[in-house]
Amino acid sequence: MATLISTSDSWVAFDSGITSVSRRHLEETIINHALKIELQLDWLITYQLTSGARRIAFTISSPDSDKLCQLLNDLNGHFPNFAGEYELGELVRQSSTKSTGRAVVFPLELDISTSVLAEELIKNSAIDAIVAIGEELPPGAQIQINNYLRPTFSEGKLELFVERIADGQFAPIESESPHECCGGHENEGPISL
Amino acid sequence: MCEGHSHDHSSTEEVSTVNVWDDSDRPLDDLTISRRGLMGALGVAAAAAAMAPLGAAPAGATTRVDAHKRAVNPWKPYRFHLSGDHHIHTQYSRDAMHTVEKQVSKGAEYGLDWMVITDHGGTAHQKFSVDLITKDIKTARLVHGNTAIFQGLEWNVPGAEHATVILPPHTTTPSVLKQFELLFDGTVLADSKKITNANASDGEPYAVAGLKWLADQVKSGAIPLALMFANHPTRKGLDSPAEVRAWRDAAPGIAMGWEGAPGHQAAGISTKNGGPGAGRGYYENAFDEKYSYEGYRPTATENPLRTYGGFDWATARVGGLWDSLLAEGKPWWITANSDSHQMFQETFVGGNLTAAGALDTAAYNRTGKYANAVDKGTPSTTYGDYWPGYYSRTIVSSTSKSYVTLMKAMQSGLILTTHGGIIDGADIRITTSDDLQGVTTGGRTFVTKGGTVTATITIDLASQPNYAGFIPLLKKVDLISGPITGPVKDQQTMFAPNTKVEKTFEVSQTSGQVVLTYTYNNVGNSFYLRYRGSDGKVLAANGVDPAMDVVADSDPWKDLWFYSNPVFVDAI
Repeated sequence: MATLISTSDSWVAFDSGITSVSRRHLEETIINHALKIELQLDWLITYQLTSGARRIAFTISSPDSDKLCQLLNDLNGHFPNFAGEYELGELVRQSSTKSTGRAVVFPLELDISTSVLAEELIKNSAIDAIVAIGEELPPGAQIQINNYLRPTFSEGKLELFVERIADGQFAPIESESPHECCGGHENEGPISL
Repeated sequence: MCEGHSHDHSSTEEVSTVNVWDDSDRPLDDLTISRRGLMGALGVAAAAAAMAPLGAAPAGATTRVDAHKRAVNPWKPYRFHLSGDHHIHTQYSRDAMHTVEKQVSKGAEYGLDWMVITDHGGTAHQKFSVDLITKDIKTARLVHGNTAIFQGLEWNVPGAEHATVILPPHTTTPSVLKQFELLFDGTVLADSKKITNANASDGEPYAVAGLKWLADQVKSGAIPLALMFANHPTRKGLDSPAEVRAWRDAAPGIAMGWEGAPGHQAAGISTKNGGPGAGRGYYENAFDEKYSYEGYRPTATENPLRTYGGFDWATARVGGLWDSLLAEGKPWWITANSDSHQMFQETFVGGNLTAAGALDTAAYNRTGKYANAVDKGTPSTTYGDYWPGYYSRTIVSSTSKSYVTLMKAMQSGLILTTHGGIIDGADIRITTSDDLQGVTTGGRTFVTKGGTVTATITIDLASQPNYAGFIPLLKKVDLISGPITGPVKDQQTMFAPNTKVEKTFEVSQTSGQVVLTYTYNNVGNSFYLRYRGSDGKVLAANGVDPAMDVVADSDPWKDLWFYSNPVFVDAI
């Protein structure tokens, strides 16, 4: 029987276990189901669990504890839970202190459908810093976002890693739809809760 | 520990004098190499000893010193430098479209001597495709007598990335492939609910078991030889260092290396220049908490999930994962291939398409094959591959032209990798004050402590235009070396911090032959060395290393490299 951990009023964590679906589908499942039950998500964070099989865990922050419990109960029926309470509790601590983790949902008040100035993105979101891999981000850098952002926590800051692309612009190193191949690795169906 | 690890070909191979592949499609007893000689060269003890780390050997005992005085891969003027590609897809892959004949004829047109057909493993492939393609490959061998055409597989390594499996022509080749695929392919295992999915870590034991199974087929004589090279190892960060070491150690002589450079080299060409505007090699993925190994998480200084100068990060990074494997003193070789599915700017489309214009995988799943590709007359701007031989080459030095001899040369590390015809070839000879004959790539030599080691690379500069229409100019060559420190305690070790660029040679000559020599004096410890060279057009900020390739804007013809395989030197 899976155990869902709630170590504070606003944060919960759960271990998806080894599922046959991808990270993307897991994220979509959570976000879609939250919308369905009208649950406000403040933060949705992903983690890699390495004790035992390599797999993904989530932490969620929401002001609505009742609906959050409903979401977790619905999820709980679909994902086996392999991790102990200590590890999940530790994930909640890491989320709430911005230590590690990858943000799927986070505070953001900006149109990110195309490109934005790096400075504007920092000013209008929970992102604290933009890090260009292997170089200094030049002043006035444009970040091509295309409605998809997955910044990561590091040492108390939420950072967005970007890389240089064509025409002097930069883009997040995680894009929504990288090239998919090849012979069957992507045969993963969506989840219906 | 190192006793008997020599697989010097000279004592076991017959030298072919004809310019054709002379063991194609013949039963075992008709192969150029006798079964007795082959098994002697590939026996269990020899293969296991070939994996013995040099650096871990205790010093002092006379017998031990004698053992170290055996040179492996002694230098000699190899008669054949055979260009090839071990990663080619056809209409028997659910994401490719060309016939075997088309791929082979194009590869031959672009100068390849050998090719391995490696369609993706999968349930439909296992059930239908292997038998079908066996006939096509046999026909292609008859049509292309000067080209070796191996039947292989792109194995979905359970819990990891893909890998090429190469088998020589033999009466049992199709049945061995089918059985291997049924028992150990990640997608087949996932479809039959034996593992969660092809990437999930509960598949990892199947990968090791599969390699041991292949080794058993060789040991039992069911198949003359089998080789495995991991493909695009850090494309998604799936192949953890521990998994790679587990493969290597589970099947010495079978699991021999990885693609130093992945295929899909045209994928990074910008949309402005008619390309797909993706990542070079389709290396554009993000670290995935669910599947990627934690050590490959990008940092402010590097991203292991990108190519560097067209090569996989694990190979391109000095002191990185490849060097950490070599620092153990164990073989792990690199190759460079096309991974050709659909070619840059070609006018063909798949023979079975959906209404949206994509390959109709439902049709493939029913038959294990697509109908022949159709010429639409309009160049595609979404394809990111090159034809076999057009850009990437794995050049193998061999004493004869036979299938098994070539595989043995690959097994022995007699391999040079090039992009865009940056050089015609290179001869590497490492001599010591104790071994005047010296050894070449994949080899091991020895030197009394305090002695000298002389590294010489003789490069044939590019003599003719490449397929982009220009003669590349080699601008610099790096000699890289690092200490052999023996087996690692932590199997996830992924750095060799003491490996460095020992010497950078500037090259000003524009044609002919260049000879570059470097001497290591007063050698006190065992070490290994390897070479790489560049056209110098795109370099990292330090002016030496390759730069991280820019997603959506990497012209592969303006950033050319060659990489050699290593030589190990044992200080005794």
